[in-house]
Amino acid sequence: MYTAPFEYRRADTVEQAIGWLANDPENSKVLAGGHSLLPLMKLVLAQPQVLIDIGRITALKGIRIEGDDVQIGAFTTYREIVESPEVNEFCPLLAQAAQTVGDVQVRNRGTIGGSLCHADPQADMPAAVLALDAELLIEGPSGQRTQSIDGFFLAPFITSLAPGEILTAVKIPKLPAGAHTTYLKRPHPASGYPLVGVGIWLTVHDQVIDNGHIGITGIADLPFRARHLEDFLKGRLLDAATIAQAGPLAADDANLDDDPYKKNLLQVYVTRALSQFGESFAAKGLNGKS
Amino acid sequence: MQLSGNKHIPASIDKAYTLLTDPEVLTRTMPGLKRLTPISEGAYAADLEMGVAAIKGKYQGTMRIEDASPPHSYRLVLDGQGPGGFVSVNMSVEFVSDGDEASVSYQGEAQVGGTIASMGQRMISGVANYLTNQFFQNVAKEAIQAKN
Repeated sequence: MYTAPFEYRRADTVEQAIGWLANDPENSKVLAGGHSLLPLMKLVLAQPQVLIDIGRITALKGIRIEGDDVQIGAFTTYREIVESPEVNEFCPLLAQAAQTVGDVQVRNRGTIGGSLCHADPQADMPAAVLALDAELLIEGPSGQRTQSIDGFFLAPFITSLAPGEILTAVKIPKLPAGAHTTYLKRPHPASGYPLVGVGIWLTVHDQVIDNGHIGITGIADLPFRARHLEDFLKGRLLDAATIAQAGPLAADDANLDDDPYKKNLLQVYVTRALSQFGESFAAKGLNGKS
Repeated sequence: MQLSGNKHIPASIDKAYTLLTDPEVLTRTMPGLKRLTPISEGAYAADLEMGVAAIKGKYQGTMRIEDASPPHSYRLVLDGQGPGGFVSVNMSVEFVSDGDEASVSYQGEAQVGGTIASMGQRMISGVANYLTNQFFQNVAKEAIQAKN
């Protein structure tokens, strides 16, 4: 498979990349890890005339703590996220999701920014960043702006990123101390993409759920927050009865095209994900950190 | 893939019918539609540039308005071909007065083939819904502008 001809440019700074992008935003694409874009180019589904490589821009790399947030450069690979002490301490859900993406090669090359901007509705990361209330730092010709992850995904492969803009970093608020997290997915047997992926963090005191967020990917036409389910869980005992009632509520926030298989799959995976907390509490004591 | 829906346009059914069948309005309002060149009564050659994030392509095809019964109904027949495959749409469009507004219902079928179909029908229908909503929002803006 050959790509259509294109011009390759390697940017040294964000300003340079934005400047090049401004020349012809409709026919240029930003190249990050390339593990989604290049396959599409080889299928000739994508035919950008100019590829702007942001892989050498040091400002876009790395993970650091900024006050109450963990700030992750857009060109940070899944592997760096999985191995990051900051992520594992303050927002382990992100590492748990990144750990399940693709294979070793994809995790070594693929980036969080690339995944979010590509906006494949079957990507893993959206479940985690939605549950974690991420904020996106975006730069364009008219300066910098921040955008909540809520409202970033508009349709499959379509985001609120304007053609001339670049995602520069993802800001994730630190989770409350003692929060329990899990990412559970049903991978497609051929592609590894989630048929459904459920990302959850919960805080629990004396078996009662204080707070928690749930992000779900893969199963609807867009990744989504299961807000009805979150509201239901708050203030309830985390026990078998609550989990049994909770399972079906995730579908309230999703468009599943009335597909009974999807409805069932979603319910099963939400139930299993919540049950994992029950098991980890049984093993480690209820208020312990999992 | 089934396409169906109902939208409101803030205009009389006569006006809404005129807007939705005017090639100039369509070129302005339909996402990606670059040019409609008349080839015969109710038939146009269409140049489309579909851009869905990374997936972009130029499509050429024809658009025909058949069984026209202004201002009540017509049938829209679209055929397009591009690097990602082919698209053909056959859909009936009906206009009913609803107070000051026109209620527009559309129902039909879209067939998508080629590489683009391998993306999976679910994603294509998600994108189609998004683009359809954008189109009707744009038409509604035109209707409001025409009033003022």
